[in-house]
Amino acid sequence: MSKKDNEHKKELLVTKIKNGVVIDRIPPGRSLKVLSVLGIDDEYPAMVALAIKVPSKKREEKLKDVLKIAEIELTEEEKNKLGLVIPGATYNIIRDFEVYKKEELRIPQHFKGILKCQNPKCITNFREPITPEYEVISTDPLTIRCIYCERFMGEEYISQQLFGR
Amino acid sequence: MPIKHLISVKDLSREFLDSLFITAKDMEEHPEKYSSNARGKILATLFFEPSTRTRLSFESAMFRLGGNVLGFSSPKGTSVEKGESLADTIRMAQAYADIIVLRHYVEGSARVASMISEVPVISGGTGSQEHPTQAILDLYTIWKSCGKLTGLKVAIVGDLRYGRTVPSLSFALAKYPGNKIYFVAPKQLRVRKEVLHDLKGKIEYEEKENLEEVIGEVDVAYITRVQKERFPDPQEYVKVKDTYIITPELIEKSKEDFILLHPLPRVGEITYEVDNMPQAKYFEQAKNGVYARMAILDYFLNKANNE
Repeated sequence: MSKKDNEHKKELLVTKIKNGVVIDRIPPGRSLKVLSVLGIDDEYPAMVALAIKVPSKKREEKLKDVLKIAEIELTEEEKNKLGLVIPGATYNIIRDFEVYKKEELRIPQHFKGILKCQNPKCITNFREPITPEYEVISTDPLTIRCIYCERFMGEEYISQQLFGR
Repeated sequence: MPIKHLISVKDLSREFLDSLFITAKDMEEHPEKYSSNARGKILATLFFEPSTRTRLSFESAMFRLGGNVLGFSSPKGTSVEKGESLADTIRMAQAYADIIVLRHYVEGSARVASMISEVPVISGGTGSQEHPTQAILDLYTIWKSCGKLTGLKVAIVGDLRYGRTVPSLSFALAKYPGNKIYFVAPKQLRVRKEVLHDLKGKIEYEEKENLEEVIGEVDVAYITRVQKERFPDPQEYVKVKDTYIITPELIEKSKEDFILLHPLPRVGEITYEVDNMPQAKYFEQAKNGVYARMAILDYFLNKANNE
């Protein structure tokens, strides 16, 4: 690859943000889901830079997504949700152009919303003023439990709910 | 720590259960002492699903404590039919009553009710999930008959997948040391994995398909009805239904001091000839429901706030 190509590649990723977050090592293709989980769309008032399926710096053959979102820091609840959707991704808080804090997003012990309970007889599937809430029973294989009806749901269902496959 | 609602047996301590049994016993022996404990108080019985025993025994319990009852025994003719949410129903009921008993076909409903209500909510049974007050009266019955709640072998028989009394009874037995449960059921109706997960490490258990295998060993057999409707294939039902019928011949094989329980209604799974045998405790069990529920109501109306 020529020097010019390498420089061009770098340009895509070096959009620096003053304050906000950089979410790196997102499994390729998942960044759109991340934006959806965070409720960020075209009406979001600050900058959002999104790179889909770019080669990772360390191993070019390994692809990833990268998200940079200005003027935001994630709540615990949002981190929990992302931990389920993109476990292993890194979450960097940027303050004044510097990386203030860096952590790995992990599968949470608890999270709210983002998927429907599988049990049709669960109260969360009726028109009631409650948000589904889940406890993670195990990470491998991934098993979650609805705190209301107490039923388990496995990896296949979770994947289907989150990613449609 | 005081509990404000009664939603799951898993939330209860052994000490709490023991204190209920002692109170229930005293209420049974000296009812007059308690005849004003709920004076001026109102119980709302909100039954979205049919019930005979649970509703009537709660109502009896409240009346015997000197209180009053209002409510409904089915959603027919109520605003629930118009589409009113459970949340709004509870918000209404808490304004009209001091304590609520809720039975609902939807799972998690009692938990949600307890999050909304400012008055105590007692689950009268939710879907296939749990029936905590049934487990309390079941244990009260075992305690009275066996003189103890530890070191018991209990066979829980029949529909272990959909029967809501099964998880509650299992969780209750697990609060006491040295007990063992035999879950006896056809393959199609085995205990749910979530229940086994919750019991792991808390009580010894074994799954069986045939009650005859364990009848000589157990102190208690708790029978639940195997319903035809639970079998998509009627042939499957025909194959299994007779394995789970309790007859005098089967009882003869049990050990001394064995007792037979059933949450009722029974529809043929215990033959009528068994009713007069000394081991048959299911009618006394139903009667114990009143005293156990008196103790429960009394706790939430009078004691919970003072702890």
